[in-house]
Amino acid sequence: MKQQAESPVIIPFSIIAFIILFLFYLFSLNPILPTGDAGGLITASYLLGTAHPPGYPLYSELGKLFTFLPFGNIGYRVSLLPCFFSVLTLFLVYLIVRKLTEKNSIFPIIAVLFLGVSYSFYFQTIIGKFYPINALIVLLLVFIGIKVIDSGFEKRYAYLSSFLLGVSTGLHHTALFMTIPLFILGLFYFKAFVRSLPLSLLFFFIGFSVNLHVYIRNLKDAFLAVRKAGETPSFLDILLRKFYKEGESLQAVTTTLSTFEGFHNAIKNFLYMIDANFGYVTAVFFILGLFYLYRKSRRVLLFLFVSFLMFSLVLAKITFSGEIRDNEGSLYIVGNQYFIPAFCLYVIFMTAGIYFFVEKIKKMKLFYKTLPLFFIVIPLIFIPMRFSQTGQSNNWALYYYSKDVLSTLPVSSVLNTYGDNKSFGIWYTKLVGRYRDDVCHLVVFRYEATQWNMEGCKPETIYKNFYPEVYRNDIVELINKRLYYSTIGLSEIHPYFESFDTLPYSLVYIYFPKGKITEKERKFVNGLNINNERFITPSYCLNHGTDDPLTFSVCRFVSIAYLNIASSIEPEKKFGTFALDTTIRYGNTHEPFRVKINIGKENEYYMDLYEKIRRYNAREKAFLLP
Amino acid sequence: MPEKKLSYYLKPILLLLIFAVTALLTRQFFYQLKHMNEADASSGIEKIKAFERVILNHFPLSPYTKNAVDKILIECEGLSKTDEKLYCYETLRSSLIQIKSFYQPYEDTIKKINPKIAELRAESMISWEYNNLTKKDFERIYTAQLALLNYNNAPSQLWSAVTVFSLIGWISTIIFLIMKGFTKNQNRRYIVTGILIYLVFFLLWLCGLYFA
Repeated sequence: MKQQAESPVIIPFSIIAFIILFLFYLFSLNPILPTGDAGGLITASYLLGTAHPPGYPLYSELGKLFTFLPFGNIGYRVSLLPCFFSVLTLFLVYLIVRKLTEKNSIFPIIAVLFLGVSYSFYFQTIIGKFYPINALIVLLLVFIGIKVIDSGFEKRYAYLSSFLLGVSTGLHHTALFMTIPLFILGLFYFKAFVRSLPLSLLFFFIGFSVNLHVYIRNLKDAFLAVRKAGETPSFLDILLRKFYKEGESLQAVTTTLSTFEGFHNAIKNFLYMIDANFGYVTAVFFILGLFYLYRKSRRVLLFLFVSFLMFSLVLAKITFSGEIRDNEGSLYIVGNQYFIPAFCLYVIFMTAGIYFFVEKIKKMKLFYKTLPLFFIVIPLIFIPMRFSQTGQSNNWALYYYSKDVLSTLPVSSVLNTYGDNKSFGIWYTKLVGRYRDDVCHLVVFRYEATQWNMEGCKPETIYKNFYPEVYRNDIVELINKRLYYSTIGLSEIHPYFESFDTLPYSLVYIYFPKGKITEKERKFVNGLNINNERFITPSYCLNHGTDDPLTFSVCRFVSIAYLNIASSIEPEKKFGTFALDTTIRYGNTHEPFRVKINIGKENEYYMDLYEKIRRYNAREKAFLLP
Repeated sequence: MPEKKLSYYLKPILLLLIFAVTALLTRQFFYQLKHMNEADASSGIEKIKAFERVILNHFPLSPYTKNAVDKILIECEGLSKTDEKLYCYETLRSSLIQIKSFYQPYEDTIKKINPKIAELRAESMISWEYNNLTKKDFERIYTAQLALLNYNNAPSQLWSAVTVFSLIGWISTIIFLIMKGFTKNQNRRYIVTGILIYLVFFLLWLCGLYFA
């Protein structure tokens, strides 16, 4: 195909498009502490430590660099990191599409805008996670692959891709999927490829050495998200995610790929994500893109398509092959983040298809000139929608939840948490913000576990003055002093169930010796509930403006605090009763929660707040849920 | 096509950098103003939280940050209940710690309020009836709390900077070494220089990780 003359307005127009997207992300970023893993990642960055397996050392170090920026707060600065890398990823998409569409610049802009405003890409850009950096490395490898096809096999490209694959192990292991398409590409240049293997391997290990961060920082007893009391996992256990048992990297790949079971679901779920992000109609252009690349270069097609398959169907088979259409956890924790490289590649094919289509209607001059503009305008329409429905610029919910939990605890008490949102949020607030650092924070990794992570009670030399009991793993004394609080309510499967009882207090539970809850204890907790209501911040669960289901989940916990407060007030004249007998479920938790409230003038306000927060944070509002 | 020199890219990169910094500062200014207005319209604990958000959106030389710090201090002084006073000082201290970059803004304020926080924590511990503590224990608890408040849990700033910059250094060097050294005609000069620079950065990186 002939190269179309480049219009002089295209370059400034491209720059404007990037500026619009950068500002769009910048003003959508979470102001301090995003939900999910972000709290742990920010804490690990600030303390130059190791986040949850596989540790993400590359993220920690780049995040540390961003903490040196002299504006905003540490959480916000680290969140700028994925924002910055997202813009770079878009630039790479721009370059790849430019290469594939005969250097005609309007089509790369279409790709950039479609991807830049797509739900998942936008979502991952603004919540402080590592997926945009992972996508950048994958696209760099794709770009190198195309360069190899363009220029013939040059050893330096083999070395560079091996090095980048090694570096990528300092992030999310999924980037290693690029080994397969690169290997297939190497087969076309078999002899040169085989000759380059020894040095490629060396460069892979040089890149891989980025993981020495985990080993050395572990030696120094720096922050380690998965350290349990008296038990430090080995370097390899962290790296191979052995902590997650069945989710361990190698086992997850080998067991799930050894059968076809769930493959149908994997395809269905992945297509659902494509529809949610780009709409099924774009699949027409995706297919046209395949056809166009088939005609242009079969090697490029094979390389790009195998890359796409690895990050779509193969990855979906490993991580996304259950019945999950209405499961917010799977949709958001897997679908919304793991497939970012697949979405980048999808957009590349799709734009190649648009280019092919537009070139085919060259004779229809009006369409030929206006159709590309039409494809540019379509994604722009989504910007206000994303900003108002998904943007995180006013999402202080997790920060205030974490801060409020700590604020309602007595000085030098002990707090036990379970679950990413609760634990990581409090890590950030206490270890980075040093808010209420008198509280000793213990984390468990399973609901029924009693072996704590004690990163929130370090250094031992100082904390031992206040809580010698904690270091003896003895909580009875603390419970007698009313100093043991937990976000975990007890059920039959919990080992503490036989020894202790709990009463819900504000945002947590307070523990008592079994069978010792008398009217005096109830009055004590009621008094605490009423007295500490001042410190809870309901407003940020009523105006966070995002559809993030993990924010909804945080806010639903906040709403329960208002039930606890309302139940502590006995109205003089009751005009209704509210009863709730349910089980709170998240992860492998199932906490029984029973409450009966007499509603009157005195506690009506809190019941109203409960209802409002529940309504505002209804899970159905999450965009990806059908 | 002849290879373009670095200076060719320098001007647009510089312009983009200036644009990015301006955009970031505008954002900070916009949000500080927003939260300052919220603070003016609220009272009590909510006012303290609004000032906290002003500080958390800090940018260098911002008049709003100084204003918010001064006003929180006045609010804290004006509170009579121990728990509210503690909340107020802890909020101020935490928000200032969170805006620490390569330097700690308002370090004097933190030093000034740490003893007050230690005092309030000690008082709270004594007043918690289940602790069985008396006023005689005050000094001991106060000293322990002050030690905790003065403890710095962050890694050394200098060694952290050495770590991250040498990481960028050795990664860039390897890329440079591969791209310049392993061309069709291997360039030994680039390879040898690259390996030497890489080793320096890599050793610095290991030292940084260990000593930070």
